Amino acid sequence: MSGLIEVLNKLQAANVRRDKAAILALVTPDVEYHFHVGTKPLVGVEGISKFLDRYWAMASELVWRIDHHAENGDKLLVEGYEEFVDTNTGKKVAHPYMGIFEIRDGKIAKWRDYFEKDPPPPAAPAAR
Amino acid sequence: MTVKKLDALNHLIDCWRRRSVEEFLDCFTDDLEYYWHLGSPPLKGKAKMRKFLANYGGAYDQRRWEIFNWAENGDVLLVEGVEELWDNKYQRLITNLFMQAIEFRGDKVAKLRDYYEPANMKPPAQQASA
Repeated sequence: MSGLIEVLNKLQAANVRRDKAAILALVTPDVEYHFHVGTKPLVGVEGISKFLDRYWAMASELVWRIDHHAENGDKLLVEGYEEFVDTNTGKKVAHPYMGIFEIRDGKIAKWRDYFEKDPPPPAAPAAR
Repeated sequence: MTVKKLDALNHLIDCWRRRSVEEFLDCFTDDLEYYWHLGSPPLKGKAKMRKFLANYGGAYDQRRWEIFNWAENGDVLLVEGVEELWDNKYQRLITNLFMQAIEFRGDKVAKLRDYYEPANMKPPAQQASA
């Protein structure tokens, strides 16, 4: 199957519109979303719905960019960048990230995002 | 003949599994960039990579490096996998799920970016207080 990136493009467009119904129509009823690999996943449409409520309430000036993508079978792998202003603190949050989507019948069944959840301030050593 | 990108990555992994550092370095372009941590400046060039590998090999013994999902598009290979590291200092096994973006020039890796949760690598006391 090709064109899996179109599913993601629809998801991004719906996110810009903050169109929850459109987003939920793009995931399977048993969707499993690891919004941060290492943290317990969200499961099911209800889990995604609650996540969107929290996310949209705390994030403004959202930037969500896909820099690279590639598809293999039913899987779409992406590299991108997310940025938003945390409305609770007023601080900008920025994450380079990678994600993988597993698509079933045109809908997202599994979704895992990889990034550093609490990055330290810059000034890390050049080599470990 | 062009080597498939996943085959090139598997060769690179095999070189490291054998701790054949020079063979491992030969998998990269001379002007390689390695983003081992996205919040830090990348390593540039083989000399820096050689030093990094020496430091890394002293701190950790990588016992597993497995790719279970991959896809390529043009010069880029994107992968998802898992590694297991034995932490020599704290005598513990660390499991890191990760993704990597690998940009090729010809058959060699020109840019490599790692995405994982670095908190997994923190000393146990810092993890407990996090």
